[in-house]
Amino acid sequence: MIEQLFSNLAIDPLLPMPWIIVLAVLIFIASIAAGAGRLRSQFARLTAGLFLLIGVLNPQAVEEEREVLNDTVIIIEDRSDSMSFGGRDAALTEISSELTSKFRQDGNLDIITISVPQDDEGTLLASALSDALAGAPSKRLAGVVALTDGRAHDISDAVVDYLPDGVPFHSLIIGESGARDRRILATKAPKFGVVGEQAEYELIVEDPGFEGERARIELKLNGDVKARFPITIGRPLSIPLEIERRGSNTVELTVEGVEGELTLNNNLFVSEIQGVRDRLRVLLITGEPHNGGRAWRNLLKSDPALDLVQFTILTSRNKSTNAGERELSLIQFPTRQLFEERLDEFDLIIFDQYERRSLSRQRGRSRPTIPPQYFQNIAHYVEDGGALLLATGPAFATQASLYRTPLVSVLPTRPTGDILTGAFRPELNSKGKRHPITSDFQGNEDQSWGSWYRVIDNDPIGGDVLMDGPEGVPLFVIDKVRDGRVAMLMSDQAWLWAKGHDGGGPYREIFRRTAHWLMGEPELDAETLSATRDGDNLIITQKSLDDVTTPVEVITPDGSRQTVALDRIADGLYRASIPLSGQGAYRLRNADISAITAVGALNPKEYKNLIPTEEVLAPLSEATNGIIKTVGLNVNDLPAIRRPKAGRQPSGRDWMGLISHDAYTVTQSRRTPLAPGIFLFGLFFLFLIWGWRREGQ
Amino acid sequence: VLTKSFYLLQVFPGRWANGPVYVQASQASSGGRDGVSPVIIGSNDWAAGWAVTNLDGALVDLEKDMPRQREFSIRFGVNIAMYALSGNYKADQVHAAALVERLGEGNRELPGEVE
Repeated sequence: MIEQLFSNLAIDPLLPMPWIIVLAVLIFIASIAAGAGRLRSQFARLTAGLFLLIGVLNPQAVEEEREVLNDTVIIIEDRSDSMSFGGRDAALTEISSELTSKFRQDGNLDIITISVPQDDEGTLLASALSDALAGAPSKRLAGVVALTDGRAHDISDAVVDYLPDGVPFHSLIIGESGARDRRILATKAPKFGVVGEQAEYELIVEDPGFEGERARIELKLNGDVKARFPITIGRPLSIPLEIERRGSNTVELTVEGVEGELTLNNNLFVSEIQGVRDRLRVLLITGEPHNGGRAWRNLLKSDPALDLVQFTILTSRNKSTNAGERELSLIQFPTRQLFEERLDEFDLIIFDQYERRSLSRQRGRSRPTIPPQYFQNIAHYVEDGGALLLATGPAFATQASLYRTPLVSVLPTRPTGDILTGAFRPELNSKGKRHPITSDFQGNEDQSWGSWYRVIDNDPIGGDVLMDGPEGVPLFVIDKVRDGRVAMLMSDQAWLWAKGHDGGGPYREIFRRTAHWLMGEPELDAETLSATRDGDNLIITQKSLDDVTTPVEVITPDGSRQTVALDRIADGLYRASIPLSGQGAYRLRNADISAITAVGALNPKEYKNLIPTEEVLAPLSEATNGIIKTVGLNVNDLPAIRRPKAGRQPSGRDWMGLISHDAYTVTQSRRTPLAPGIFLFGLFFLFLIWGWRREGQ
Repeated sequence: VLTKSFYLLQVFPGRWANGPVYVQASQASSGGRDGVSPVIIGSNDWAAGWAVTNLDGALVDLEKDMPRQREFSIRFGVNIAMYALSGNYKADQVHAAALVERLGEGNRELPGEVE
């Protein structure tokens, strides 16, 4: 009442405020002085002064016409994927419309409804909240009501501060709290592992309420079932898995579903692991000391991924050394160990300028340095997945050629017997411009390469020629032989590039790449088929040295097949796109190349846990004194709605409050003076005269 | 490595056999040289030891600092040539036998291959 009285009162001073204060002080001094001087006019003076003050302050009565403003309530609807299970979606729609109609009945509420956005980060409820708050008047916010299963992924302690003080955040949790969902999680999933060694995976199967029971797990590696075994629910299990190949390996772990489960989507764990080679072992056999020998050696030794074992044929027994054996620093060439016992231990074998020679005469028969059966071993080694690099020299065109050994069965080109000499610049041909080993150098760079002066004329019978010498003579030939790979360099002068002769060239880079291509580095493969997930689509990419006309066959995780035609994007680059059908491994095949791609859960966070929970939003609701209630799927379980005034408790056990702020706007305001000024001044003079008279008595 | 790149040698004689021999080591490992020294300096006048006439006779009389001095001088020349062509290859060879032996023992880092 008093509040209202004062709110309706205004003053409109006739003098500036400091003057009025000075005046008030003077009046008090005058009245006190009268009292001190024992004059009888003390009361009269004071009263006269007060009338003067009131007159000067000029009090006014204010009359306002007010309009009550509506309070605003925000309804947050969680429409994320997790809401699509167990009828939550329909319940949400029903509850939301029920709430909306109740709010409308109140008549004093504006309703803002917002849906929660969802991306790979899960359900972003806090960001929806801040968006909604930005559009709502913070002084008139009655409350926030979240309709969700409680699985929000961006709730932090700071979210409380988004809300204005005293505004409650009510969480109504939708979904059956007894819902069952079994899911598989990897607590440890390595991204890299050494080929041939065991990678440790650690798994846990969660199935709330069924801990201790057993579930069957199926393990697939690169699309093939490797193992089936039981796991105890709720207990982590370590699984060693041998990595099969270099590059990408696809691991799928599936736990069997149970009846009545919300979704099978999270019963599958898909991961890719990169197989890497620990140390690659290279055997370099230099046929004789020569100018280029150190270039190879420097190249291979400077690559930290390689371990080099080198043997150089320094001399042959036929040559006189003019010294005793003890004065020579020579060792036996351990051919038996290298080419029979330990051959498989090497990842790459390089013959540099090797020439067939006979060792020594024993009982009248000459024995070659490397006997034919060892070359046979090497040929088998290549066919079984080994790698061979032949850096030929003039000897390759002669009788002493390696072409005249059993190694011939894996060589992609044969010497004609001619050796061409004269300056020429090595050139990339059309395949060389496409192949990852050499494609980076096309353009300006290959135009400034230095000259070489000798090439061994040859006639390719297979494989791919990447570089040409003079008159189109193949200079650099690569080939895949069964599981293995072979490269042949038809000149002994590549080292001129390393020395920077005539401008030099990318010796180190080209042959380092060649070595890694030979050893199966997936990134250097020319013929590749790959697939990546792009939203809800699978993008299939094929690269090739040749033109690709055949369609790709795709086997989806559920086992169905389809063929997809590729579109030509650029020379040797083809692409196609198909819509995804579920998660798991997609197998692609085109002619003789195939690939596997793992497509994990489209939204791993969202699917990680689907059981409705109060836990996530409870801190937020408690901090703002809102209600947190599991309403299940039943619209009748909604809490009652009340409109407490600001400052009162905004929620109870079974009701949620929407703050009533009683905000208004003034549409019209009129002021009238409480008392006419002339009247007050008249009173002032009256008391002044009275006081004067009293003093005069 | 110069002592064992082809012949086994303890001294590097030329016309003299007792002068000091310097090998640049500071830049040896830079620029992908695999530790091979770019320059060898000595005061033994090696050219005199190697110099021959058309008749295959020696051109210069050597000081008698050691027995078979001319032979060792030539052997040192061969070693330099081998060093130039094959670098530190012989340094590896000390361990070569062990290297090959150990190949079968899994992924342990190979010894050797370092000077």
